[in-house]
Amino acid sequence: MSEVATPVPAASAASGAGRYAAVSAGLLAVLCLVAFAALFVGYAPIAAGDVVDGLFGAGDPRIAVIVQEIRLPRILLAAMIGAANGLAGAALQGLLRNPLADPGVIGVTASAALGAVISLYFGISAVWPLAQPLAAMAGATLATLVLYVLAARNATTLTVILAGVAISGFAVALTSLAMNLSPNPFALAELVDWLLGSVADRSFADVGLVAPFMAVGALLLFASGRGLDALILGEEAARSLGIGLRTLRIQIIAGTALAVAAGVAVAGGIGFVGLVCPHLVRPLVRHQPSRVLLPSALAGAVLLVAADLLIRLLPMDRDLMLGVVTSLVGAPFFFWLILRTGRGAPL
Amino acid sequence: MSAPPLAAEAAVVRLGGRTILDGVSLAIRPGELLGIVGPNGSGKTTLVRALAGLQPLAGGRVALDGTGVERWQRHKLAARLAYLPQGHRIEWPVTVRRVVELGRIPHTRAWHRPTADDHRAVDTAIGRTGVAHLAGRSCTTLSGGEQARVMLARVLAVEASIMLADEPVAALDPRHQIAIMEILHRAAAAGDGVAVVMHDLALASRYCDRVVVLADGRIVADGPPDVALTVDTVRDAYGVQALEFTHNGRRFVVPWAVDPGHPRE
Repeated sequence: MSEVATPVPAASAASGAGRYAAVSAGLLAVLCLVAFAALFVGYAPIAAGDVVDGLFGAGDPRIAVIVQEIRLPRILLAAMIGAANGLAGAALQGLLRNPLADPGVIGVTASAALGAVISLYFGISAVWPLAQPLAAMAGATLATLVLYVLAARNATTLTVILAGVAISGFAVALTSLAMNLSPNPFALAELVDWLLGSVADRSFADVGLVAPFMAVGALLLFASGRGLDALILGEEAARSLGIGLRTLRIQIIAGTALAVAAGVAVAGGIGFVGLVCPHLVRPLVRHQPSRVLLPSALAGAVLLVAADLLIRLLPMDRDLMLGVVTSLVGAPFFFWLILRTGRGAPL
Repeated sequence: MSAPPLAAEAAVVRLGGRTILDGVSLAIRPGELLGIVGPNGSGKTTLVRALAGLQPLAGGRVALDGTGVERWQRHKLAARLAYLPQGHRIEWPVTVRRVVELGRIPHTRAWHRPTADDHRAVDTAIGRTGVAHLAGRSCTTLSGGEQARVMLARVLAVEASIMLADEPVAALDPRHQIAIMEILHRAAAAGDGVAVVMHDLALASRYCDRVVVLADGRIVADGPPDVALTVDTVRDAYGVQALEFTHNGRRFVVPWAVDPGHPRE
């Protein structure tokens, strides 16, 4: 993933845009392919032709129900959550100019989970379904605000990451406390199951619940591209180029909270997607922060849909949870990144 | 003489209870290369940041075309006034050309592609700084001298009429220092108002049309190099004994020894 210093003719501005378009289109094609393939995999053995019929509501109505109301929302939700995390990770890494930033690492995911757990625990979400995403977002916003205050004080990026670890730890502790005090074991099991992170058995109601929040969050994050580019030169130079840093920070914090927390509210904690994806696509778009955003979002969607597909293909008695799988892959990657960054390798 | 476009009037800056700038009045004039010199901690960087509209004032004002910089719209101010901060920070290994293109941000609207004008400005800036052969290289693989020229190209690409550069020649070898000063000198000769913070007094005498000497947040000398930079002003400002030389009719001073009679550390 190291940058290769090949001399390129001066007219690289146009080819840079072409490269960006090609990478985005390629990833979109892969996403469509993986998502389509995922339609054909599930517990009910359905012939390929019947799946296609079912998708369009033709053929056996029972198959149509399975394809449209079980498989399709699951794939959509995986893609949406993956994209939201990939996008938020790319924006956060650009804002903090730190390759280790990610909604999970800096404690946003855990704080969102805490918010959602509180709304579950007190039964608010049973009465009012919107309470869960809203509480998750409140948790996520609180965590990002603390980080923002630290970052605004010119704290080193290491401090910001460590603060994220502390926030994450505290959120996990409070979540554990809620589970500890849980009055009935069934509620506890439900909480644990939800915390592990999964998109199985979710419905279009869930998709509809999170979609508006994610859309607004994504819009805010995509609009930050110019500011992120200017930050290549550091904060002083970015300000002198006319970038309002306070607005940019608030935009990215709000965007991350909206996009990521909504996903956490319906699917639990699915971590590390936002950490990994920007790194995968960055060399492909020559590291320009604004051009990392869209490919990173697409890569996140591909990754999560593929991981969820893999889970269904694995011959196991009990299904692996999606959040467990992403953490199993993501955590070693995180460790490898730290080692590489420590050796002074290019990002 | 017409009013200078950018001017500080009795500017005061206080940071953490300390007075960093203590009533500084300074005008940046078109066609003039202004050197800002002074000991470490004398307020040079704060002065340039105040001129760039990046430093809130505790008193006085900084005005561009008669309007306080804090009242300008951010992108409009950015298009008029280019600022090169100290140190050459580049956070991601993007290409040289991409870095120079960042200078066009004040001119491009959000969600818009760069125009032919933007490409021309970038090409011109790359040409003026002689980094065309580096355009496709990653910025993190450049030498210090190459990086300094790329950062200068980024500032030139703004095509602002006023340029403020904070120690653009720090940590460069003499050849690169001269190359950077030549570029700035040519920009001033073409009509821009250029202010440069620097430490090399001989280099300042050689290239600057005018020099201000800052000490303890005040301007203690202001004028053509041979007036502002003398053995006396150098001793008073830096606490250093200097030697004076003349070459081709230009007088310049070279700091030589710490002045024993001077209380400064």
